[in-house]
Amino acid sequence: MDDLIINPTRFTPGIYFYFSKHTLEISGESYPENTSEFYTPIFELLRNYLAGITDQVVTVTLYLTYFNSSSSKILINLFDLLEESASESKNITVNWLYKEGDTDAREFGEEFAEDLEFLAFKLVCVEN
Amino acid sequence: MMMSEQKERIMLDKIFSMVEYLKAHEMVFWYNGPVSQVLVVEIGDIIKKSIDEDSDKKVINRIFSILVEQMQNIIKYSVQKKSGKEGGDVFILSSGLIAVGIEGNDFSVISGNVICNEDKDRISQRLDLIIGMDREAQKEYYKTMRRKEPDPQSKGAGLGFIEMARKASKPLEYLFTPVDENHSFFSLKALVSMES
Repeated sequence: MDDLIINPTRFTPGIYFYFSKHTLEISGESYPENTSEFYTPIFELLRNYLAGITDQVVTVTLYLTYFNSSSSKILINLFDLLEESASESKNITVNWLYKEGDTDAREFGEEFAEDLEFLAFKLVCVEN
Repeated sequence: MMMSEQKERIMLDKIFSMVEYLKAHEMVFWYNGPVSQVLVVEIGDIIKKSIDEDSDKKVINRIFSILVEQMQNIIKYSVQKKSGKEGGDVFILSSGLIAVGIEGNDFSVISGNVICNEDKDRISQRLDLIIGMDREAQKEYYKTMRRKEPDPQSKGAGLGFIEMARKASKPLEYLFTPVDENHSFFSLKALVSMES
């Protein structure tokens, strides 16, 4: 399956899905006017990828410096998707990156983690 | 929304008194007019740059976050709309007001837009509910709403108000002012403490 690379814009994050290496990254700011228009095709590919993996070690990195409330809902959908795969014993780890001192971003990560059971969810502090 | 009968010429001396009025109320930023996604980005950028460099980054981020929710609400819900065509594409512009000011030890982040009276109850019910909650209840409500399918009457995720409330340091304030028999002006204020 081809890698999916989408460059960031001022209000959409960069998507770096290296399916061949099993490393997926979303980083930047996310506040498009229409979140599903941006994310639906991306999740479609992700779903196909997750269906095809077996015991590979998958690393998902999220480093969002800002996201609006509708992107937050999209993230829940993303984590649900990953959680479902993790519940089928697939080896998936999410790294939630936040800037040192940004307690709001850290709390967002903690709140996502509270809703997850099978998915390994790590909070990673990025030093300034 | 009809263009109201604003046929009177704007006098230049009035412009100065408007500026004086805003200055007296410590308004840092004031915009009233059509809002687009590009403008959301630009206004956000200007606010980030114009607020004192000494301000905590977290405070600026909270203001930015409230502004984005407010402006995207204007885009989605303001009934003051104008549509047109550019090239082959149809565009719709929604109008509203965005302002940032200083109120004691807080920044005030204000928005205003015209709504249909039939939406008043839905808006005030939602806001009253959030305003009455403590932090823990707000968090639980946020998490529940985030998992819920959006309200069929709502064009958004239904998370904007709760997001603003959680970023604000005091309860949100709102007001409906009648515009005509079918419309009201909905204004909303969030206060963000200068100390995070």
